[in-house]
Amino acid sequence: MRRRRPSQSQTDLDWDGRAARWPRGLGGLVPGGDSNLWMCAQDVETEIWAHFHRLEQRFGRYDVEPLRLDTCSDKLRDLLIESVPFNEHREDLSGAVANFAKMVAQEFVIDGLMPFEVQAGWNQSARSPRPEGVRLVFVYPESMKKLGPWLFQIVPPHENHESTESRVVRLDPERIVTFEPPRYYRQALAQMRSGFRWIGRSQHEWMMKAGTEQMQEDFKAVTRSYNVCRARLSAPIGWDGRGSFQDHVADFHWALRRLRWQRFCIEIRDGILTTLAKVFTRIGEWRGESPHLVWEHLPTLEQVQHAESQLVGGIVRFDEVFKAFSFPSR
Amino acid sequence: MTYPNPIGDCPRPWLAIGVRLIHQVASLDLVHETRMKIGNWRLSAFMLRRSGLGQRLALGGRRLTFVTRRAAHVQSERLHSVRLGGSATWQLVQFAITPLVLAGLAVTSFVALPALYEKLAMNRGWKILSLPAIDAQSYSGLMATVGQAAAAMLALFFTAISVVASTSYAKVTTNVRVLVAQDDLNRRYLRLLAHTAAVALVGLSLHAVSIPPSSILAAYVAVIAGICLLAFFPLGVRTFALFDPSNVTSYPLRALVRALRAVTRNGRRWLDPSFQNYANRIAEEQLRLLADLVIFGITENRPRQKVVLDLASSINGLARFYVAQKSSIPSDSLWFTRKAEFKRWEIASSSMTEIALRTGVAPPPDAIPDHGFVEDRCTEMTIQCLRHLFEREAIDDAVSLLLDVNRTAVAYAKLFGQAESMRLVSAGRTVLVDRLKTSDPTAEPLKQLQLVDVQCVAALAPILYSAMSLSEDAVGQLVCHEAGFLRLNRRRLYSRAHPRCVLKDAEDLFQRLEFEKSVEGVIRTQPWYVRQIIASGYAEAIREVIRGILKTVELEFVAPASELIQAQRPACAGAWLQRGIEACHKAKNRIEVLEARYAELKGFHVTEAPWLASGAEDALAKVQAFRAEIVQLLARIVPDLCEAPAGTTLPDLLGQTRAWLAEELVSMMERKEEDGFGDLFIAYFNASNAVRRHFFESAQQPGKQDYIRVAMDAMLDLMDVSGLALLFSQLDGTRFGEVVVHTWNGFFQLATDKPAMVRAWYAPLGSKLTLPIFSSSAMQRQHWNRRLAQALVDRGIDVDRHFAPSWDRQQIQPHPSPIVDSIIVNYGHPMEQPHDYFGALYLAGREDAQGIELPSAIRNCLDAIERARARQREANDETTQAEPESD
Repeated sequence: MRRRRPSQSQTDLDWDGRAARWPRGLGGLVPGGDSNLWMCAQDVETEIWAHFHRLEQRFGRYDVEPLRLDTCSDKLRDLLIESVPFNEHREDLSGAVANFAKMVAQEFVIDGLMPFEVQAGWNQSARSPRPEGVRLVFVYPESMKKLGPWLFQIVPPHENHESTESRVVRLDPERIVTFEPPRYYRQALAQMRSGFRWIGRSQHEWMMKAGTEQMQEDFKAVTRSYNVCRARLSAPIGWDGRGSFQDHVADFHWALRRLRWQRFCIEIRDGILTTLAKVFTRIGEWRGESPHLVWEHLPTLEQVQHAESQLVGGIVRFDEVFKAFSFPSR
Repeated sequence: MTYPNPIGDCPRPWLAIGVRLIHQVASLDLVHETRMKIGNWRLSAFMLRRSGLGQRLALGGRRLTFVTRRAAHVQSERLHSVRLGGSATWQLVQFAITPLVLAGLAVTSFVALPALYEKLAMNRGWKILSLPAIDAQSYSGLMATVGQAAAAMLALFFTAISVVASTSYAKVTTNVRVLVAQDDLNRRYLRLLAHTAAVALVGLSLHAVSIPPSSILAAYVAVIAGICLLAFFPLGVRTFALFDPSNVTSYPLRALVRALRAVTRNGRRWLDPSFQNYANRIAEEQLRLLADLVIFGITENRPRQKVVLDLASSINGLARFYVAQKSSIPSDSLWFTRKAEFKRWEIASSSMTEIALRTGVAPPPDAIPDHGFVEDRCTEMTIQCLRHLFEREAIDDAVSLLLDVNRTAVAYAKLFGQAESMRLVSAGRTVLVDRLKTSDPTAEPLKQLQLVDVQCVAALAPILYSAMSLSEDAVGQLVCHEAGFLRLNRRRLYSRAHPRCVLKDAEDLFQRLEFEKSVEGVIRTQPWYVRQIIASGYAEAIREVIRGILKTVELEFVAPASELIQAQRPACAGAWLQRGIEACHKAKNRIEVLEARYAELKGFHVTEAPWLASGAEDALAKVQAFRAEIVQLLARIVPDLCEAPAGTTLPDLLGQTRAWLAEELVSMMERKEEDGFGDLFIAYFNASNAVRRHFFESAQQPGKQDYIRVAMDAMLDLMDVSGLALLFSQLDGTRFGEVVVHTWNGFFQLATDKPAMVRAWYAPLGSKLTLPIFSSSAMQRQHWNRRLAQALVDRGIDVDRHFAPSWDRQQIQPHPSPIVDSIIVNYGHPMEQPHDYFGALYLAGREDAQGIELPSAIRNCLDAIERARARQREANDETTQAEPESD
């Protein structure tokens, strides 16, 4: 796997970003405040990573590159790769973007969106009109406030060492890029976040009661009801609760949900890549180029539709239905 | 100042306190410490108590206390008794409420309403009823007489029932005795008597308070009193029938059936666990009651065993009814009694094993439903009855009972209860084999054979009907039930009988579809998936049935026959083995049918779940092995069967055995299976000679000369099998011929006049055309001949070369043996038959046969062989001449 060390060349650049960052808590014992939510987020992350990783051979080399940048110079290409955060020091475009996409997707489940500020690095000594470095800096969504055409960031007082009051930073909306899930998934994800957190609170109590035989109800019935709630909340995205519905779900229903999950992950991935492509294009324009991010050989919605029709028709085996999405054994 | 109380705060009688304070009062130290004044009332009382008056007063006080307490106790006991009495009185009132209400209704209808009508009619000018008038004295006389008579009959009838209960049912449980009183007619009659007495009493009471007598009431009382009087005798006589416990079985059966209906799909609250549990308790209670009745029936000494037979018949009837209803009960219903199932440590859940390791307590077993609890109880009771009948030597009744068992086994098997059917048959077999092993084999042999036959017929049920139930309906009728599932209609799930494993899968799927509906709002699962699940269940059922068939053949036919042979019961073993051959034949057919059905079910299988092999191939091989084992066992009993007296009073076991042995010998030759052939052939040889001897002896009797033909038929059979062995040896290079020649040589060595023996064996060959052509032997020999011809074809020999033109056919190399080459087949039948070849190859070749004229059939055979030999010589010569030219 090609990994690179943190760039030394960008240390002497002047960065024009305004957004502030500070350490932020997890929101509970687990990220997102609920174990189901965190598991779901991790599963989205893993699935999107798997979309890319299934094309990888040993040492991070791809048989066929799933991503490429058309009409892009090598210099800009390197700059764009370096601009992608959470890339786990991957030097290749596909690896870097894959790692970025999985983190963004995870955040979609936990927080619903992920805004970034595009910061440009300028080399004052070179007196060049073009930025020498670019980076995407995560801006906490809860700290951003929009007021008409203006966008502000509220920095909490304990992070604002200069005074005991919150500090307001005006952000440039042109520099803010927000990664969001497709519109039709937003409400479902919001319901899932609030629902999981709500039913998750009671779980510890009734499970402990069952362990001490204080529970008056049938434990199996309670577990089933709990699983029905979880399955209903996650039905729009098709999450399988890491197999915890296995005792209640029919194979056909499970297969349908799994295809729905694939559809969700693909749409999330494509949404992230589409937004990132726009960001790359904007950065390219700063340098007088118009790079175009292209992805292929990844699972597609057409494959999901085809698999669904095959499943409903009952004409092929289950493993054939999922062949397009399965991870090849090596 | 307060005086310290060393005893406590509890109030005490002051005298008692004084006694307890003696030592304190006497103690000067205490007086000093407490600064108590000597002249106070406590001290005065103490001094008074020590005086003579005080002592007398104390004695009087003690006596008074005793008397008072005793009186209080007596009053308390009386109060308790009154309380009990009050409760009992209330119960009595409760018992009497219904008869009183009915009597009140009757009196109101017949006295008050007419009186009210008359009053209204007089006031309003309506037409007055012209009821016949009744004399007040006669009225009171009638009421008093009826009241007394009804009370007397009540007492008498109850006494009669009590006599039945206390004499016939003296040693049984109370629940059984209660059944006697619960007889429907008895209860209704007792209530009618009570009603009559009550109405008469009320009528009399009304008359006593100056209410005018009612002719309608009098007529009503007269009618019901008449009914009671007339019914007294028939019911009294009927009471004697209650001495027979089989007559009271209808009440527990009725209660059980009612409880059963409540938990089937027709019951209102059939899915409610509390109702299921309640129904189970009723069923358990009624089954215990039936078991008590059976024990009562078999412990009483009776000259005839009809009671036991009737009890067993009722129980089997119940079992048959139950199994028809059972498939509409959910698998997890609490109707089914729970039984413990212990899990293996290695496959138990880690939490369970962790708790076990930490606490030192073994993991608890799972409570799983026992789906066969009613059938098993019925089987236990039936077997108790059967054992009792054997103990009492009631063989005819035992046969009747086994026939009933057969019907029950068939019902079980037809309704997918192969396991229950096998358990029932197995229990009957165990008792029967024990009986046959311990009884005298010469005593009533026909009845013993009847017992064996009926048992074997019952044992065929798990083989025949279990398979039939899975194969007789079209596969679509079995599998296509998706409509009920997709509409979540649970009752439709049980509208058709399915094997329990299919039901379990279907119920599981149903729950999963309910989950899908509650999660997604709609059911998206497709019909093909439902059909696949049901088809998988049926496939599992077929695999189980195939395994069950094999187990039945082994346990119910091979094993008992072997046991009987070891116990020196050849006749019964022979009958059992012959049924065993039938069982193998039927098992083979059924397995083939099931295999075809299994292939049809595979068409419904779409997903990646493994489609297991049906096991039919292995099963067929095992059935073949069982059949071979049965034939070997038959061969073992041939010497005993030969010594058994021949006649028409018993089935011809020897004849059938001989036929089966011959079939097996021919099959072994076809399969080139030489192991065990020798033993089998010797058995057949002996059996055929025994038959020959028997019919020769029979032919000596006047008027039975024709039996000589039958004897000759048996000789031809033996020579035919021997000839086949010689021909198959030539054909395949096997050693069957050597075995046959060795056996025949031994036979001839024992003969004193060997040439005469040769002539005797030539005779059937010379006169075979005079023998009947449609006899059992002749038909069997024709079948063997066809099998020989088929074997020649299977081995690539051109059997048509003598009849069909050769120019348009591929030339096939003739068989190197001139004997095989000499066989001419015409329309599937060899022209010269195997017994002719035996005469030609063995008999004619013996030294003792020199000089004896050969029968024409043998001469034809020898000529054919010689011609074949010449043909082969010519062919060899042509080949030898042609070879140098080609070089």
